[in-house]
Amino acid sequence: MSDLPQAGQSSEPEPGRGRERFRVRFEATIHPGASGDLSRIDEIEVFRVPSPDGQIRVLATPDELEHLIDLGFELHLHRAYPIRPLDPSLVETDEAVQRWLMDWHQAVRRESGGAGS
Amino acid sequence: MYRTVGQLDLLTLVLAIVFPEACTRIRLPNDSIKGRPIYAVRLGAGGGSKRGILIVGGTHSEELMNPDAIIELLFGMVLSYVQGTDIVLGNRRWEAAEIRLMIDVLDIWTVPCANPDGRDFVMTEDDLWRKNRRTNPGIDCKGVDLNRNCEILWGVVQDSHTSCDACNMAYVGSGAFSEPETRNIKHLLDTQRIDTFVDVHSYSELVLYPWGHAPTQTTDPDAQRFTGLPTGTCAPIGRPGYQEYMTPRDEFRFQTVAGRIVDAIADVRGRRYTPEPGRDLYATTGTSKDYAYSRHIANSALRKTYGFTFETGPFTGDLGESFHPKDPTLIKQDAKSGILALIQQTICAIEFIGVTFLGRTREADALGAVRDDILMTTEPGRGWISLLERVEHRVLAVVLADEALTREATILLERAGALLENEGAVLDEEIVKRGLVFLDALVARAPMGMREDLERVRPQLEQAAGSSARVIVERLMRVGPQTTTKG
Repeated sequence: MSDLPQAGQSSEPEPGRGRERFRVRFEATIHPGASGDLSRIDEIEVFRVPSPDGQIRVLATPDELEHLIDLGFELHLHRAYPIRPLDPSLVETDEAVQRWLMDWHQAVRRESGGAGS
Repeated sequence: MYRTVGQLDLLTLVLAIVFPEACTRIRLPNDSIKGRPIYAVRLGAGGGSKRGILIVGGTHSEELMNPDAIIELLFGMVLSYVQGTDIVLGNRRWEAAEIRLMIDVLDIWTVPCANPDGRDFVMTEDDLWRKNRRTNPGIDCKGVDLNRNCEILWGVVQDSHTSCDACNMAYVGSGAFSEPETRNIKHLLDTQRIDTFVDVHSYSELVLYPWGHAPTQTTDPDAQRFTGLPTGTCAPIGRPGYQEYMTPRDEFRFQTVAGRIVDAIADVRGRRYTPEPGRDLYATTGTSKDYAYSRHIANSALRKTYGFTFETGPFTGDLGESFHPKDPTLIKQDAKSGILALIQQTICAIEFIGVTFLGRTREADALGAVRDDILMTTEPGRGWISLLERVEHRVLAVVLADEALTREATILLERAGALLENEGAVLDEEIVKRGLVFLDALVARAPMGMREDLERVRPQLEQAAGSSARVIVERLMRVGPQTTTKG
């Protein structure tokens, strides 16, 4: 995992003490592994996300996953999430907001005979 | 599509400018960690002492849908109020009269974007960022989880969904309310009348209510309470089998209101959210819904606030898509319908009539005591409570639309209060007749779905003449609302 992208390539570098230096997180589910024991998982500092199937699902950095493996847990990696901005195509443009607002304002004025003018 | 912080702020400003008679925007006392202003918007016509609801969005910044949903809902409600048109959300129609009543009788407080720094960071740096942007001293990991930072068992860490590690996404911060963003929520709870609270999150399709830190028990009020537990320990509660007490009335109220929210969401397009105590999802401490509800227990001088958390949208198999789907339109419709249901459930018809037309809460307080202390103790009694809470907002809309009905409702409320205050008094024939005429008028004006509920009251009213309040209440405790054939 040492060849993963590192912090410092971001406009806001955060070297951290391990957790924020990687530019990727992984969604994984945690399983007992050879020990067959999941009881210690509640003691482990790793960020859990809701899992409708009842599994222990985490969003974790590579070194957190490494730590879990060292502790004997079995990990199923489901997806990698590079640390990156929201897809710009999902961000509303100012022009679209202005159009939405104008449509709303015209509807208010039309029906109320000038309210808000 | 998701709006930027600047766009959201612009929209709240426009709302306050265009509709100043019922919409106010205030800058909350604490700017964000990065110095951004944080705004609350109040929607509510008229003045006076009104019941209130506080709706918060964007606490966890990667959950992008909810600030947009709250803003759109505010605009939709204003449009409905001005135009007199219904709000249509999929297959659920919210009638203009219902929306008007909400705005007329409540103060609807919103903080659409409680964590603007986080939202901006999601859009410009890290699309799965959850916390605010606090620089934590001595470590390069930033941010505090704002929904772990409130003063309810703050710093008690259980099941790794709450953490004292600043690098963890569920970091509790350096102390309860260490963050300006959470202090803003506390400020509104401290300074406004807030009867109901909801923090709108994503994802999982849940309607959560207290408690989050332990299973709920309703049988032993003398058991250890959260107020006696140590905080800031960075360790679990440490009492094997610990359960947190809640009055049966409050548990019933949480369950029935959550059920109505679930129904209102399901009406939109069939998505069936699950209502449950927060602990059923996972153990948490320091959350805003539990804090809002816990305040009156920690300090008996404070008003009770029923606190909820919504978790909007499903898990899609992809975290990014679950937190901020490419097209959130339908999920936002679900959320809006759920929020409207909660707003509606904040209305208390009896209190409103008492305060507005009698200038007091004496009658409402007396009837509330009967409800909470007596009717709650039997299944039939709970049936009557449920019926009342199901119809009261619609009854109030019908009553307020007709001056004669408003006068009659006020007189009947006053007489009911007098009957409760005087143990020796009995209900006279004349008042029962007036009550039946009033009921006829309500039935004639009520929407179809409500008539059956109203008719269930008739047999009890018909046999109430000559009875004392005690006898009437005892009868209600034995015989619940029956299905009738009339009407």
